[in-house]
Amino acid sequence: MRKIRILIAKPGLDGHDRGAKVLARALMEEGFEVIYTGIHQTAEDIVRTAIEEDVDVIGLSILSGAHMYHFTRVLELMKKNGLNDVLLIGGGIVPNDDREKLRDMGVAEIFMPGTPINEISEFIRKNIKRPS
Amino acid sequence: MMEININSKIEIAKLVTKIENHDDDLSTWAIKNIKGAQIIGITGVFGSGKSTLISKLAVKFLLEGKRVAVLGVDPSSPFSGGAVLGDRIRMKDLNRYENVYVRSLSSRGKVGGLSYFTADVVNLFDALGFDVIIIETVGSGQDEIDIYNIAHTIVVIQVPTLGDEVQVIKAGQMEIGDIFVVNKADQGPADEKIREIETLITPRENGWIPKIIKTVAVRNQNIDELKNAIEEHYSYLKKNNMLYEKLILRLKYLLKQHITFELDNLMDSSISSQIAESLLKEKSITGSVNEILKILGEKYGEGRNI
Repeated sequence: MRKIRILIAKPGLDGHDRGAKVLARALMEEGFEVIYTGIHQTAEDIVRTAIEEDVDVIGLSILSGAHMYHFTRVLELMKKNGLNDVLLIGGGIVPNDDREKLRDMGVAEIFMPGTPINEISEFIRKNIKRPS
Repeated sequence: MMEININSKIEIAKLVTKIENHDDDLSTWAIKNIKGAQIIGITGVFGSGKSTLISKLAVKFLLEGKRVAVLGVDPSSPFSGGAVLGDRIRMKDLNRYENVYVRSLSSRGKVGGLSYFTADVVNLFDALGFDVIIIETVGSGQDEIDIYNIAHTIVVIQVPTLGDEVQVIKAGQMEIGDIFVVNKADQGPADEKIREIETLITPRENGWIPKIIKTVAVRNQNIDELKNAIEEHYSYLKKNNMLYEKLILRLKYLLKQHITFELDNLMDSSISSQIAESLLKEKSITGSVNEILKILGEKYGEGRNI
C-alpha cells in the first residue's frame, strides 16, 4: 500500500510547537510519513515543501490568532501551483465562526484542542484526494 | 520514454514518489539516462549537524550556478511503518534558491542508513540533469555504510567529546570516510578529536588519504574548506579514472537492493518456508527452527511456520 505523506507546518511568528510535535509523532505511530519543518514558516516555504515532498496532506498548526491570514495565503499559493489534489487541514485555537469561514474557503477541517488522534487519522484516510 | 520539464518541481516530486513506490520502468529509464552527476554522501551520529552542514554546503554549489538535489533519509518505525522526516528543519536557507530540490525519504524498514530505492532516486536526479546530489543518511552510529556504494565522496561527521580513541580504530564508518568533519568544533575539545582521527586514520583502498576538517556549521565556519576537500577528492577520482568504478558499485548495489526488497517481502509472506528451503544450503536449520516453532505452537497456541 502507498504511504500517505503529511506535511505538518507552523506558519508565521507562532512559536508554540509542542502540539505540532506531538501530532507529528502520533501520526507517525499511525503509519503515516510525516514531514515536520519546524516553526516560523512562510506560506511560500510551506507550499514549496508540500510540492517537493509530494505530500497528500498539509496540516497547519496555528495558535497565534492569525489563522485567517495564513490559511488564505497558503490556499492562494496552493491554487496558483495547481495543488488541487492536496488536502489542507488545520489545528489550534480557532473560533467557531472562523472555522466555518475557513471550511467555506476550502480548508477541509480544523481540529480543536482535545481532539483524539485517531479522529484526525481517520479523517485523513477518508478524505485524501489521491487514490491510496 | 518521456518528456520531463526539469524546472517543474511538481513533476520531479511525482517521479520520486513513483520510484519510491517501486516503479521499475522509471528506475530503468533513470539508469539508461545517467549523465554523471557528482554525488556526495554525508553520514554521522544523529545530532552531529548533518542537515545544517548540508544546507550550507549546498549553497556553495548553488552560488557556482549548479543545480543541486538533496536527499535526507530518516528512519521508519519498526512498529507502524510510519516516519517523522525532519531533516528540512535545518535546511530552511535553501528555500531562497530556485535551483535546488530537497526531498525527505523514510528508510521504510531497511537498515544500513538508506532506503531500498535510494540508489534509484539518485539515478533519477542524475538522469534529470542535476549537477550535484547530496545524500544525508539516517543519523547513524557505526555500521550505516550503504552510502559507500552510492556516493563518490563520503563525508563522516564527528563531534567533539563523543567516544574515546578506541572508537576511531573500529570497523565500519571510520573505514569509509574520505573526509572527516569535526563539527560543533566550538563545543568541546575539537583539536583532541582531530588528533585522534589523524593518528589512526589510514589511506583508503584507492590511495586517497582522508582529510580532516573542523567546522561550525551553524556559523558557516570552514564550509569553503569542506567544499574544497570534496572537490579535491572528486578530482582525485577523476584523474585516476575511478569514477566508473563508483558507478559499477552503485549499479551492483542497486541490483542487490531490488533483490533484497523482493526477498524481504517474500519472507513476510506465506511461502517463506519454501524460500528458505530453496536458498539455504544446510537444510537442518530450517528443519530445527520449524520443529521448535511447532513445539512452541502446541504448547502456547498460535502455531506458525517460518
